[in-house]
Amino acid sequence: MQYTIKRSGTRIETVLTGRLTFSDATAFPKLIDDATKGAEACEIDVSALTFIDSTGLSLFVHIYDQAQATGQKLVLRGAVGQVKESLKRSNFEMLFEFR
Amino acid sequence: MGQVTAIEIVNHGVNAAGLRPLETRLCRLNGRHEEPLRVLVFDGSCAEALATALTAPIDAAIDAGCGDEAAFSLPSALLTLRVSTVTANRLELAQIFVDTLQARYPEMESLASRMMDALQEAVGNAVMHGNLGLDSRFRATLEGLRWFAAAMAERLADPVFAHLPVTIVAQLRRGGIVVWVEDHGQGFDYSEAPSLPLMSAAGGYGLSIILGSCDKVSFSRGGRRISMLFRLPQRTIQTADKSSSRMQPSSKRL
Repeated sequence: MQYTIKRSGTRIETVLTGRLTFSDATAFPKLIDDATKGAEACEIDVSALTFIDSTGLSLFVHIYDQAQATGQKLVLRGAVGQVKESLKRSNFEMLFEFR
Repeated sequence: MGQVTAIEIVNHGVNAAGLRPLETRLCRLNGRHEEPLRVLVFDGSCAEALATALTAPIDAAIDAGCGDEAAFSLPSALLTLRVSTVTANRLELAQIFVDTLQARYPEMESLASRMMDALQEAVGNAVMHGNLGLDSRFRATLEGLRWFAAAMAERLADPVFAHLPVTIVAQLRRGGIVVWVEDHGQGFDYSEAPSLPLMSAAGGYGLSIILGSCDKVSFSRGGRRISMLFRLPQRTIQTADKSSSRMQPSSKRL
């Protein structure tokens, strides 16, 4: 998995690409910081994610927890295919606004 | 057919000094097979071409980076793969394994997606919780996740953990394909494993994905091995029975 961060005022957009799996777990703390710190709104673009496993899903739980703790608005955008199915199956629609 | 001593080694980047003792041990441990086994031995540190190498009729692929654990008694199987923990963490092992099986056995196309989801979780568990000995409960909080991530990186760089093998085996069974994954960790008490999806960063959800993706799941060897059954459609089984070679492209009788 690779990611890019775009900051625009107090809005942070994080674009994830590739496969988000247990192999990426060592990068999660930095990713969470990059995606949430100092933002009022966090938007995560997963349209270029091709696969996600349960460890990858746990990343979004952490981002949700961070956003909840600091009152940030959270949007998850562009999920398709296996990623969309996994997020739906795990009831992430209850946590995130999907676009 | 009588039993023959036969291991044909296909070397993929392992130097002679590393290959010779491994070949000797493999032959000693696998002296009694009905037909020759073609075993790909590869260097896990440069294994990007593994998927391509597996397009050849290989019975088993072994990462020489597993050190003393690289040689083992090979099971009768559709495909066997043994890699070190660090290689399992770096390569998309589940995808390589399922893609290889699907290319060899188009009959299992209907299982591929479920098998991919389940195998990904099983390999992740074998790496993180099995061989690296990391408890997912640490991931319940962000601070715990920081510790978990740092410990994971540290252990992946530590030869004591990094060389431990993860083994994946696919076997044809009555009614379907069994895929088992085994690690060399401490095992776990699977009677306490959660069976329902948990909306928690602490984990547990992987096992529910496995349970939801397979037709049957069982544990053995103190929780170090998980076996997952994927039933083939009845029509596929009949086809395979009538034309057994379609399910045995490596010419090995199962």
